[in-house]
Amino acid sequence: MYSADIRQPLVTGGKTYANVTEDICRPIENKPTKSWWTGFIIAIILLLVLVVSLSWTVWEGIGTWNVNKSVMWGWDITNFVFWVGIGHAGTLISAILLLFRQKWRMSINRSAEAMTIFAVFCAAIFPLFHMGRIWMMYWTLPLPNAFGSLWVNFHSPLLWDVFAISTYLSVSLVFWYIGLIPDIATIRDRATTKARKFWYGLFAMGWNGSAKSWGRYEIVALILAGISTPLVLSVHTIVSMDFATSVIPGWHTTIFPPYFVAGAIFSGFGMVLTLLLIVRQVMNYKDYITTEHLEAMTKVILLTGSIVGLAYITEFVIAAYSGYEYEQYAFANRMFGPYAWAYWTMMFCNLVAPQVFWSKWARTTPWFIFIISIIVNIGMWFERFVIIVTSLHRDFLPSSWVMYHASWVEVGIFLGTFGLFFTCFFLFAKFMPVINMAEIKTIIKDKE
Amino acid sequence: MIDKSILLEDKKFTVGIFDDSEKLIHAVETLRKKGVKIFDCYTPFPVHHLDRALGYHRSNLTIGAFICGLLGSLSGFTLAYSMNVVDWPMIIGGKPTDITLFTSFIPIIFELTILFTAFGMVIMFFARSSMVHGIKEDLLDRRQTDNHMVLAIDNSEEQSIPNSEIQSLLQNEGAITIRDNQAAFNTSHTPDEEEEEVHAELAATQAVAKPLSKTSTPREDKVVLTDSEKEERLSIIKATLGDASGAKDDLKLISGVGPKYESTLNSIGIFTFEQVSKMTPETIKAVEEITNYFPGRIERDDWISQAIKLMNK
Repeated sequence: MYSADIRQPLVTGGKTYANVTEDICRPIENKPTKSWWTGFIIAIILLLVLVVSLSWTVWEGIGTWNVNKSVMWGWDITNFVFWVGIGHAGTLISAILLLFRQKWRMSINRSAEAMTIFAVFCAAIFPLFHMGRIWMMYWTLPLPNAFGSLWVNFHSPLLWDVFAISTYLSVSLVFWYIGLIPDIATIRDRATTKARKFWYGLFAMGWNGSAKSWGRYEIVALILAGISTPLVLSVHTIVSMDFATSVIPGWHTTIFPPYFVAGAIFSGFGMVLTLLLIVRQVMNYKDYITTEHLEAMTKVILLTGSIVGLAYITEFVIAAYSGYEYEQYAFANRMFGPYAWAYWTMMFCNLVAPQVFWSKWARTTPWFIFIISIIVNIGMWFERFVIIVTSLHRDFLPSSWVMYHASWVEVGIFLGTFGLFFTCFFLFAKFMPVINMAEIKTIIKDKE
Repeated sequence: MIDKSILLEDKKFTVGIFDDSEKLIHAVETLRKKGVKIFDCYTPFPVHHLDRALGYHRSNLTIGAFICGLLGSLSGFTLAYSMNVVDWPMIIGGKPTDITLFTSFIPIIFELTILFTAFGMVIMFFARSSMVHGIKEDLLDRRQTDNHMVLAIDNSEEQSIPNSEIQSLLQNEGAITIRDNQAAFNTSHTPDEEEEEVHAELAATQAVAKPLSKTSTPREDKVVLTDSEKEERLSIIKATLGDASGAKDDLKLISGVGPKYESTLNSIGIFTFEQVSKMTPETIKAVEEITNYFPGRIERDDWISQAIKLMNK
């Protein structure tokens, strides 16, 4: 194995195989800590907010939201795109970085994949409840139905979304589970309680680490990575087509697919950083998630943030140059209209703020990265808000011009999805190894 | 639960247990050169080149994956075509309703290709590796999913050399434990009478591992010193650091020293910050070797300047 002395070790603290197992199984085998309970209870309270808001929506109808005939997508689809975007980092880290043989992915891929799955759960809530009658959600599937042979419309990007997101969710779940099997087997073999033996034994599927199985396992991981890579790119491409194939000024642009994909990776890494900085602090995994890892991730943020910034400017220049007055108006309205505050928040958070990562100090100072990662999350939420609301609130017909502000129910659903997300994440951190033990053991003697 | 073991039932093995992947690969190569048939190896993580050393071929799962992918593409196309062209053509924006619609079907075809490939391949992988929920696991060592690497030789198989010679070969290759007539066992279905024994064993192994994980002392790579080598190292330490002459500081204040390591340091005559601050690279090496402390850690944590700071307090 080639290693240059200029590189830092990927895992510090001189860990041995036994140390890795011990450190990573610790939270699973011991009682949850106080900080875990505090976080979990806050998450559960937010989850209750979600339940209340969604129940009220279903009971009373979509009228409880402030979406209207002009701004029909509002916070709802903003949140949908926001969560789907966050869901992109996990598979990107485990698939694309695997193909590029980036070994630093190994400390972070497990939690990033978990984050992906939980974020897609959160995302799915929005379009499903937006349909109004959630109990009819199976109508989105190509099923034989009671209305003659009327099928779903395969021309529509909204249907492509159904296929893309459900494929993404199921493939990510499988990828995650395959990665978990050897670690579940490790916990099974250390288990001291009946319940743990049973459950981890059940999900380990008899794994015993034989060289034959590992051979196949590595092939499976490689192929899954190979097919997940175009899948990640396709999902947000298709989400962007929900907008790009329409004729609304501000949406009807060919730049959307690459710009949305870069934005998704940007926001995904923002969320991964937020979570991992908490995990490494609270669970004391500083030897596994080192500043080297943080630095690598901030570089991705810097790159994708710059791509997104470039896309904002390109989009604006193309609109100005198009000679098409509706397009020009849409962009002028974004910058100087009633939602200008949202536009400039977005520009600051996504274009300006990540540029601090040109400095080595910024890339290696955890508390500072934490602040920037939150700013990135905020910025990416505003990006979707700007795209959706500013484009819709000024219709072609001035008589349809409206202003849009979210109702408490919409805010409640959005806050509530954070509850769902963090409830899932806390349970994951308690019952599953947050770091991939089997993979980490292959690199504890390596350098980056 | 399927209460059935898959592979190793009723078999007895000679097992060599290693704690280093390179030693394992070397052992496999040596044994195979001697014509010994190896049943399989069991490792806690994928050991690269081990499959090559064992003479395994690359898995054919890729071909299966390709076929599944093709099936997925075909299903996607058939689904969309039969619904939107054959059964119920929908005229959208005055576009034709024939095969030229193909472009609209591409996303669906693409997604189903990936879905079928992923699931098909994973199902084939489980089937090929006889993995199913609730099956008994066959283990040859309790820590083979933790830090032990197991080399297993089937006792019922004809071998070119006698078993005793295989065992001595394993010994030479650096196996930490060698067991004959080992039967497969499992951890999740252990009967109650064995339970207590297992608990005691596990508690013992974990008790060893726990304090170590805090101070990050390696369990592997231990240097075992003979008495004369120990004497030599002790004299180096004594020569450079001098005698504490009864004084004693709280060495635990140095980051990296816990109560256990403090007593170890005391046992080799290191009691004060002053002594620590006088350490030379040679002394550090001697200390690390004699106490089995992690190599390089003393320098990395910069004990010397820590000690100087603590002295001046």
